[in-house]
Amino acid sequence: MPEASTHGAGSNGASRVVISFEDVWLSFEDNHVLRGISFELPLGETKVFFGIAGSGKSTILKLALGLMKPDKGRITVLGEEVSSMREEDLFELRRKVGMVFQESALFDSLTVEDNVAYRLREEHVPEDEIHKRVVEALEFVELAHTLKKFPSELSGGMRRRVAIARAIITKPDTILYDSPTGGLDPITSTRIIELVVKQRDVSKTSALLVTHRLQDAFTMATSYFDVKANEMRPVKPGDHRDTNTSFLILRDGKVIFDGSGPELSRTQDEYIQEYIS
Amino acid sequence: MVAGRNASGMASELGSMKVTEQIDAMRALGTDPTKKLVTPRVVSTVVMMFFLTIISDLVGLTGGWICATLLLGLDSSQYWSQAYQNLVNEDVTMGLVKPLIFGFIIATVGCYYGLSTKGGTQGVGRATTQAVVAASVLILVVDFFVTRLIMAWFGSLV
Repeated sequence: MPEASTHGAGSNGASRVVISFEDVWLSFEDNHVLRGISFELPLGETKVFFGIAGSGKSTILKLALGLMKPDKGRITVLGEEVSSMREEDLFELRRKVGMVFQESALFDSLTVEDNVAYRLREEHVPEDEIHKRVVEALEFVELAHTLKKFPSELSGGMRRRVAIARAIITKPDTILYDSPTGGLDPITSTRIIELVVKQRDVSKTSALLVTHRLQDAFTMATSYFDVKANEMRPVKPGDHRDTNTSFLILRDGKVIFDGSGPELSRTQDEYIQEYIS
Repeated sequence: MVAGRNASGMASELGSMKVTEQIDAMRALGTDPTKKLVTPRVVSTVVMMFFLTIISDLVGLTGGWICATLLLGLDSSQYWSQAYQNLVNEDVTMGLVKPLIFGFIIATVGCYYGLSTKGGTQGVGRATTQAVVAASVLILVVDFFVTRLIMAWFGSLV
């Protein structure tokens, strides 16, 4: 494990930016969802988005993936400007970015195996290799026994884990998590966060994560994945371990905080203090 | 009937996929939903409408034959020879061209309203109703023009 501090944000000195938003504006009729959003996601970092419902957190993920277009501003993902790309050109870029949707968004008519294998089948990967990689991805989320089940036969937490398996099967450089723990019980939520941390620390992927649960974000910022023990462990005081996690808070379509965990706990902003208390 | 059944089926299925983010997931997984979901539905509806019309015509003729022989006491061979004599190229052409056009309308309208669904489950219901109404009205309007066109083609316009 690399030695650094638990500060996370930018402390690893990563210079390569994976995702960047520059003065992005978006409105739905009279509702101004985003008002000049700017931020950068450095390589290997996980940025956690906070904000009340309707503050535009999920919209930012959809904009990053080119599923929506901004009214104004520049969005760059893996060096390509998605805000001005055509839909046909975006398909290639999306293959390098995994996304876990809020309600899993698994295909109802396909089995778990077919859902996870979807992208590989589209890329015409040979069937034996597909099966091998699907089992591998499902083992990562500890759901290898659900291969032949349909999404309707799974619990909410299992569906989220299948969605994570579907997102990581192509070993993407970046993953976007849209409220992966939303509506789940605390135990299942912790299990999902453990998978996110595992993905962060084992595969070193960069990620944007939207959540309402502060506890999840703080768990991410203060925990690491122990590969030998195959479990998530808290970073001990004095242990200079970089958890590569930073925080971004949205309010009224604007970024009111973008920084590390310690910076967040030191902030004097009343709204933020109330939010995190 | 087919407009009611198929356009509503497609609109509700695709609408449900839209509101549960499955369409976005498909795009996120690098697939064009139009190619994956719309094209197969349009092609299969057009092809199947063609054959369904042939089957329907046969069933209609057989029904006519049963009525003619059992209820009206007509001779069986007389029925078939009369039916054959009254059948003209124009009827056959019109009967087989229209299903292709109607099939295209049903599938495209159903898919369009399905993929344009907004607003949760309520939106799915709205999209389904709109698809049936739009497909039915469009079929009536297009039927008028296609009939005139084919009649003109065969030089039957007086």
